[in-house]
Amino acid sequence: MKKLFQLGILGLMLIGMYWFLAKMNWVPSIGKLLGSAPVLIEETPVLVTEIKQMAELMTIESSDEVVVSRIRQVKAGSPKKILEWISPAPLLQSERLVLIIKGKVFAGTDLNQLGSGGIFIAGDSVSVTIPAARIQDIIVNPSGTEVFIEEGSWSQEETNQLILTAKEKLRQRATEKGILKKADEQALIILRNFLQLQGFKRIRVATQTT
Amino acid sequence: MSKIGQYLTGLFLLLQAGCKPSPTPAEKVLAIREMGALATTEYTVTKMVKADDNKTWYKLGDRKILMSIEARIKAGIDLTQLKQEDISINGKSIQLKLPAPNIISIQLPPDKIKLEYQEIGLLRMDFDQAERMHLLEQAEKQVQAAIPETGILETTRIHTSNWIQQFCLQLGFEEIHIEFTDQNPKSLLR
Repeated sequence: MKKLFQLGILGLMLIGMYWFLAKMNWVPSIGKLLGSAPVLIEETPVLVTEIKQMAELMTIESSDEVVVSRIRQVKAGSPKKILEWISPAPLLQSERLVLIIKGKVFAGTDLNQLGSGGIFIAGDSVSVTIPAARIQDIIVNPSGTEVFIEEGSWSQEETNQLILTAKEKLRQRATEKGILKKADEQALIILRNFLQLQGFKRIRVATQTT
Repeated sequence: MSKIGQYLTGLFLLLQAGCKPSPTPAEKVLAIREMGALATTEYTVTKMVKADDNKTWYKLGDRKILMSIEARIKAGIDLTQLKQEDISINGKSIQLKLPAPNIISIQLPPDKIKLEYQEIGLLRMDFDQAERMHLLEQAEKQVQAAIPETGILETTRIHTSNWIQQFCLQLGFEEIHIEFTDQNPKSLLR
């Protein structure tokens, strides 16, 4: 009985000592020992494949969040399909992938299309006609993508297709919010200010009408 | 026996009810921001994303993945930062002090993300989309960190100077001097 008591005390002391050492970060904690290590990617070089010169006046940035989902039938031979054979009640035979995507839509004017025909100067007066604004970029990156529901195994191509759907949704929503009209207005303000700084007194800046 | 059958049916019905689709979260517009960035340079870069999930001692077997990505980086200057004191005009001669070039955007086009190779041991699970997204997020950060080494800001200085020079010539100036306010690049990224 006495020996059992001594063993118990010894065990408690050992647990206490381990707890103290783990608390001081001298030994790994139980959680760390049993938890899975994070998967980290290796440092690989970045290769520059193309350099492009442009002149895009980016005037509006719209940040938005959309939800996209795709449902498909369970593939033949998958565990869910096999489970259906032994199940007395019918099982849900579809799989879903739901993504929450935060993206940015940039709109602005392509100033490379601004030819010499669009600029008229007479003394301290200037008239500039710029092309109409358009959506320049829809940015959806992995850092803004959250996999909300993933049932079954989805290929990279299937996920990419769903993200492309999200991009289209972002474009539609931004267009509905009048992003192009706002971009046109902002481009006129920016260019008018720029021309004013260049010493012009009478300035006319307009958007090309198609 | 029939009772066991009833229990099993009940259990399956419960499981099925638990698997019913949950409602999808609501969408919302976050913000619309006015800006005035003149993007003059776009770099396209590629990168391999390599990961090996072999650091957990109790997981047996290999689990490796190799993906390739492309990133498009846009850089330019913020025209809204240009002030009266940055421009001096003397007849047909103009001197401009332009804001320092900045990175405007980085994008990883989804259609350029490709799974090149995957090796999964018998006792291991496939990399699911959430895990892959986490790996791609790390790759995105690595691309962002490698931007200064690509020399994009130096190229942007040249491209911006070229375009402003051309624009000023169209406006009737004959002598154009361009310099940049500072050499410390500051990111426009939000």
